[in-house]
Amino acid sequence: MTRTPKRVAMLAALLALVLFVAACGSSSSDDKGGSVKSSAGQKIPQGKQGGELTVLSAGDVDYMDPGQMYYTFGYMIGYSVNRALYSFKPDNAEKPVPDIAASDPQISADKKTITIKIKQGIKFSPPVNREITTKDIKYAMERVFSANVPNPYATGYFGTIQGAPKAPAKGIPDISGIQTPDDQTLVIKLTQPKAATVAAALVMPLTMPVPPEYAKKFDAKNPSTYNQNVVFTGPYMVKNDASGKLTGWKPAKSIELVRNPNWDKSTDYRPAYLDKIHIDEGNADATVASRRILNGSALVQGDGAPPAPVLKQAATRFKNQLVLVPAGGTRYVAMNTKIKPFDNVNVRKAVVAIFDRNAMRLTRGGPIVGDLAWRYIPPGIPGFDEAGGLNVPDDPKFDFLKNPAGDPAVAKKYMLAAKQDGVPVTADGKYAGKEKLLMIGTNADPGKKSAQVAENQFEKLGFNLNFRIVTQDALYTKFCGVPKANVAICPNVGFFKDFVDPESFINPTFNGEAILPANNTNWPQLDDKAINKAIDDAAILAPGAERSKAFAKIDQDITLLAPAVPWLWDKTPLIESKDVQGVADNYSTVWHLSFTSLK
Amino acid sequence: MSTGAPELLQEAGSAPAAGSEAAAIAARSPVQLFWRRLKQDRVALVALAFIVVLIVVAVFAPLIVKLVGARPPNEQSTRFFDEFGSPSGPSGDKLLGVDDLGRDVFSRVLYGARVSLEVAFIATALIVVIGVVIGMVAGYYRGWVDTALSRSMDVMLAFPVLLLALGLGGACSLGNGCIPVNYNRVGVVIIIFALLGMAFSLVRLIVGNRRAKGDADPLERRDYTARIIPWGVVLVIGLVVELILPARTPGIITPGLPVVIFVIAFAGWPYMARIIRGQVLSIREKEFVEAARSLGASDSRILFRHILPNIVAPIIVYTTLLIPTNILFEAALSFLGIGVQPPTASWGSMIADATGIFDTAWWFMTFPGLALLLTVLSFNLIGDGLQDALNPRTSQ
Repeated sequence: MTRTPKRVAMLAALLALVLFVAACGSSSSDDKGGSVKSSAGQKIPQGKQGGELTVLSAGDVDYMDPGQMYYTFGYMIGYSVNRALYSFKPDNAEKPVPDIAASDPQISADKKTITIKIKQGIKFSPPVNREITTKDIKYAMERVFSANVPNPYATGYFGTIQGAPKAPAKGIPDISGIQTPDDQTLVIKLTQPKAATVAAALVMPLTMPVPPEYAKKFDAKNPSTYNQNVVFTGPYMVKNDASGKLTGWKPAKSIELVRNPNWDKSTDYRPAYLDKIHIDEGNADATVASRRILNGSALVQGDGAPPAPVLKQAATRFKNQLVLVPAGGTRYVAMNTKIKPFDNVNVRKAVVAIFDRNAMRLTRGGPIVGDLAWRYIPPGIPGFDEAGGLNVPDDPKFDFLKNPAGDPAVAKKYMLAAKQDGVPVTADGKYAGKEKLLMIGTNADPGKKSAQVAENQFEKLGFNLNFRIVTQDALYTKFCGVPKANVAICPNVGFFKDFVDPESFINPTFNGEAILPANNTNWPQLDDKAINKAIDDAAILAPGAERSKAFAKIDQDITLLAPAVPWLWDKTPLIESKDVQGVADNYSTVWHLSFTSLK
Repeated sequence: MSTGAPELLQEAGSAPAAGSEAAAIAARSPVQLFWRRLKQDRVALVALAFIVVLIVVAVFAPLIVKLVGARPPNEQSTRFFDEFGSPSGPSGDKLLGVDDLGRDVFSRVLYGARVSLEVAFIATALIVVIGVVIGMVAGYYRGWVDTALSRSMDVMLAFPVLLLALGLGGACSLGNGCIPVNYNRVGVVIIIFALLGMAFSLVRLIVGNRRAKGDADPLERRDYTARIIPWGVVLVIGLVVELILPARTPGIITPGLPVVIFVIAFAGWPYMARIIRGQVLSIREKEFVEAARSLGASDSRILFRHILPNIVAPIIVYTTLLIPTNILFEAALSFLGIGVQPPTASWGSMIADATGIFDTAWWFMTFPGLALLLTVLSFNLIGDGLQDALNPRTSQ
């Protein structure tokens, strides 16, 4: 065959391919009836006993060791297999209930002592098999101050305990401020009157008990190998062998959860309907995994939200399989207040004014994924309503936040005000400086899209950007979390609740004293003396109206300094198969495996 | 009885007609023959026309976008989204629809042609220069030179190029790039190298000419300029680098197209070098090379004046076939997130961005994919056509 007929055949095949591809494309028949469910105010349904559920996840848990786990997916598993002193029922993420504790923590009048009584009859899983005591909780809290058990928040939330080391200690320190006068009583003594904050933080996994006689040999190694040998107190456990080694955890592949034979239902509020839970990891393609869940059987999502196109399908055609959970977090675009011209508050206000926050939200799926943010304390956290709720007040000092689609006239006003301060600005209100400002975004969607939209917003005001996209962890560990990197703009930052208290949103993110040389979370590097003092003063107030009001005022004051462009108060979408009766955990914003059942 | 054409016939004893003989026996030049054969290949001509149109489109992209009334390629807009942020497809005011940031796909496809052609042509040029030089040296000199260069080629061919690309892309896409260069030092090195080369060549020439005095081939005397001029060029380059370029740059491999071009050139030169080496191995044994050598021609003269002209045809053909490979390679690297940084439009990055929403926004992937397909196909067809036109025996 000569070349010409071959070529004609190739061209014909190409044409056919084009026509085939063009003919493809789904036409969705949208069901516009009804609305998507929200987990806020949900009633916990009665479930059916038995069955096996599969959780699809992209990645693995960060840790199985409760002393080290920090990320949401780890919490999804961790709070099903272990119990903390306090935890949240799925229908109320604002008020924790006693879990291992028998009652609410008692706080002394000087706010420096917390006393907790624990329940009797709660046992460790095999191979330890005995009843827990307060000594196990004391050990659990002490081990996280060791260099062998790197915990990301121990010093931050529990550093005020008397005797708590300031730096990671060699071996397991004996902390004098954690006392166990008897097997059921735990006393925590503080160096500062911060009992309210410490008590609120007792929901964290580091209060999950660890048996010292079993764990010490693992914790003697650096890093500790307890992570592969955890024992459990929850309704479920990871399959293990007689020595305690976790045989049911194949890192990056799967986790098998089975019933904990030593779990006593009468000591726990969890119903634990399912017999088995299989976590299937490595589902990196979120679109494929999400479609499997929606169209399959006995499946729920683990980590990661469904991408926007699948979310649209879920919201229009699979409404009953989608739940939106208020995430208790705020996303924002941080401007480095130490780098010109963002050291000028008028320039920052101009940026906030020009920003199309609607466009930012559309990158994640539109109004369904959350409310437009204009401050930093999110819905569901004390202080949110006091600071103004969802809507921007009519007060003229908030004019730069009024228009979520961006307001060029207000932006120009603030840029011309900045010109009076010596900032190079053109007559039409654009930035006239020639330098290229470094902006680092993430390479993972939808964050990558959000970063590109953010870049576009800055360019509207005439800024020249050196825009780079990097991996998610490099974004924090090499750039935005490292002040020395001199990143001018970090478009993909945000803060989500560790526990339900406004201080956790304001202190690490906007207190000048919280700026760290590495792992810094005060991304704008805001260091305003008045704000710093106000945060320190509010931190010692007891939980209640006064504390909420104080932090609400600080939230507003920070907003008026415009260190960032807040743009979203998230709602996390959770999807399930049609034969699953999922119950969302409003605290961790994941499916609550101890309440979920099969229909 | 004669069977010749009347104008070639002549009466016995009569003189031939003035001018007719010369016209009758004029042969066609190689270029004419080449063009005649190429013209017969309609498919190759169509492909060539497409490439010409593509180049024109790439060069005049801003004008075309303006004329058609499309939006600039990086202009974002939420006007064409639904409430979930899903983009809308082709319609009257947006020829090829919009992408997931509301940017006009038509504009971005046009501007994407610039990236593809720029990378393809520059990277191909580098591959050809490096590959041809190394291939010729390896094929001509044989011995340990050939061994060293051929083994280097083998190592490079066995190298996991995609991993290299990912690694370089990851390392050089952060901050200001990698391999920072102190141009002052580089300039000094180049100047010293040029002066030494000049001195060495002069000494060789003087000694050689003295030995051959009287019997010296005049050609050899003219070689003074042929020998010195190249070193002079190198000297000028060194002076430019030393005096004009900045003392220190962030990195010679900077984020964006330089990373892609470097990776493609680094990965591609061994293929060209191997082919050229093979060609040179056969040509160096031919009689005309032997004759040139026996007349005292230098190695560089033989290489560039005798051997290179005889391998131009395969170089041209292979270059044409290399271009589409490099276009695809650039698209693959952009697809993997290395190379062109957002918001620069590149067909590969557009296809990558479209994969997650292909079933709901088919236009976003289809049109850049189609452009890529047609471009690669056209270059392949032109390469085939050139091969047939330059060496008709291969098509029989």
